[in-house]
Amino acid sequence: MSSIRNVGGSGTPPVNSESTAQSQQTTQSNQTTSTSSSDSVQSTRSGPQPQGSTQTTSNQTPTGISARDASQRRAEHDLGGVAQQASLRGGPGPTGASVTGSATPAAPVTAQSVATTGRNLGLTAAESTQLRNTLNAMPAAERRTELQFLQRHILTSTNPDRALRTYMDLRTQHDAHPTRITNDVVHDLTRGVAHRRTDSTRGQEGILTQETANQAARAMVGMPERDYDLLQQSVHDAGQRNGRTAPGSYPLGERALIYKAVGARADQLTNPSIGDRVRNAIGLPSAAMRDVQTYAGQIQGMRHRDLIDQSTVQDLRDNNRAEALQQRFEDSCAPTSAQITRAEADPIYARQLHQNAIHGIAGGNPIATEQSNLLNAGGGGVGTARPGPAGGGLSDPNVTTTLNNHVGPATNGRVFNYQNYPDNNTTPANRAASQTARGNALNRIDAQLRRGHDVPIGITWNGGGGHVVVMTDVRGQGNNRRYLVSDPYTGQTQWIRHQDIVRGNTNFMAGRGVMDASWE
Amino acid sequence: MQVGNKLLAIIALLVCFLAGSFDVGAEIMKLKIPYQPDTGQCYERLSQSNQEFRNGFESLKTIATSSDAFADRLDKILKSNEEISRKGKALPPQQPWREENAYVCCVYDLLESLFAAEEESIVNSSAENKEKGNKLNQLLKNLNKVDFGSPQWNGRIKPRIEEELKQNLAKVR
Repeated sequence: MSSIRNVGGSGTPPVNSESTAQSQQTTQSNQTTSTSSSDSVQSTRSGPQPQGSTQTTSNQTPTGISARDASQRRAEHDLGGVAQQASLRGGPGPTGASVTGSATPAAPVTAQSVATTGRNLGLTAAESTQLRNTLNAMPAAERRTELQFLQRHILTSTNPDRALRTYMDLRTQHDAHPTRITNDVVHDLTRGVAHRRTDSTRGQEGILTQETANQAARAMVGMPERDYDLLQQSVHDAGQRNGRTAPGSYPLGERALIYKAVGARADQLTNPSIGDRVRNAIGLPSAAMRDVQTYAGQIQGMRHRDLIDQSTVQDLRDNNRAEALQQRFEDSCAPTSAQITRAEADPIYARQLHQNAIHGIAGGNPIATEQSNLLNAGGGGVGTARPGPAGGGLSDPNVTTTLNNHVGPATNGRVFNYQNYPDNNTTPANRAASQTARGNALNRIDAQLRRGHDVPIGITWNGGGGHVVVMTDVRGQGNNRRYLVSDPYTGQTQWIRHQDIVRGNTNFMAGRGVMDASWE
Repeated sequence: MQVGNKLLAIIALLVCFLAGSFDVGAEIMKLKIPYQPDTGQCYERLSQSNQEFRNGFESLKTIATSSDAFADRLDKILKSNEEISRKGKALPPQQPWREENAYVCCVYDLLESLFAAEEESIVNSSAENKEKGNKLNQLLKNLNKVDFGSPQWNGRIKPRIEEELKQNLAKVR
């Protein structure tokens, strides 16, 4: 509890310390910005922020928080938040209305200050303005609740920028479909994006992403009434056992995963077949909702750690051993990358893979069988058992087909576009051009990763031979960016620096090579 | 006169050979290809791959079996391989599987065969053990010059060649 309080204290960005400059910005805009104290909420800071120190930190942080401080505080918040999640449903309301608790009141939080903090945390100027406008368009009472929610759960989280973007998307859905995309739904989905999965640096991405949260919302808007009611029941039961919150469970995480599973099936849920309609008519769930219900029942009350670990096939734990999914054949890197990409999009599929040990190279199990089938279907023939000679694998066009066929169904028909930028090291000019091409590719990939689209990339090893790995997250800015990469050969998940990829001769865990293709 | 010169050359060669001081690199090498029995599929696939890879591999075999010194042959193979890989990859795929991987698999096998043949020549030569040891050590250094990045090479094939070399080194000590 102390960590929570600490978060609410020094760990909370002083979004209330709205500067004069920001007020002027507000005035200059054409928006009706209310900064009256009646529309603001008290921050949960336990004491005043030393203004002198905040001002000297950076001129770019008028709200008085440096990027490093914000990062540290976000980490603290998430770790505290992780421990606190289980009690949230049964404790304070989903809007977090009671979180101010006994904390000493501080200066008010306003739409403007939240928008400014969002800007400092990574929103563009346009997004920041949009956030402010979104908040200011709300009735005063609702705005107070929402400001409190954002301050309490989002601004101090690991992924405030991604969560704020998601929040804005969802508020639009809420305004259009208030009975389906309720405040509870908006809050759960936004928090699913905001909160990190594990305390490892590799676990910073939330259970949900902007993409998966939006897909979930789309599904909920378009699904039949009966399915929606059944979904609400599953969501309500999250974390419960015998009518009580199960010890060690993670209700928010369960809800986020249920929504993620729903989002992965948005196309099916919003376009029910005749059979689904018949089932709904007699009170039964559609086939897709039945899968979601079954999954919700399987994870209900599960221990927090197990819940997270079985929802991913990446290695997101710091325990000095590799634990990610591995290819069972020398030449099944592309099928395994397809498995990884699908598992990251659909927790039901991830859990299915976890019915067998995901880390290992032994054949004769469903994971190996699926890889073999995908390899064979792609024209790659029968896989070569490991260790052995790697003389096959799939051609790049067939990798594209495999991704579309295997991942498409879990991503509502996402189409992977193949991008190729061969390395040419023959002259300094060619080398520079190759590096520029890789940098451009990474810039494109960056935007997709931040939104929540995982990107398989192609590698050519030094001396020749190809491999496929999957990028699942990006952190940092410019040349200081890092990409989270899962390698199916070693079953490792690691951060790789932007500049290391651009330069070439990159250590991709299993070996050294150059990124020369991506499926975006 | 010319006949006499030829005769002298032949006699000189014979003397060198019988004296056991013949540089193994100057022989026309005979390589066992495929070297590893489990690479059969790689060669089969190479035969169905694009012409850059097919012809390229033939040219590597020619280099490998030439009479140049071992280090020279190795250098030429590595340089040619870069060129062949680049050109082969630039062609549109003809097969559903990755043609480059089949080619590279064969290159690895060729190199393993090349090292094995050289090693055998050194070990079976009538040179003193010390000289054999020096040559095997040189071979190890040459092996470390092969800067391939794949896990197959670094995790399996290179260690296998290395192990073989070290075993032979131990024998001649």
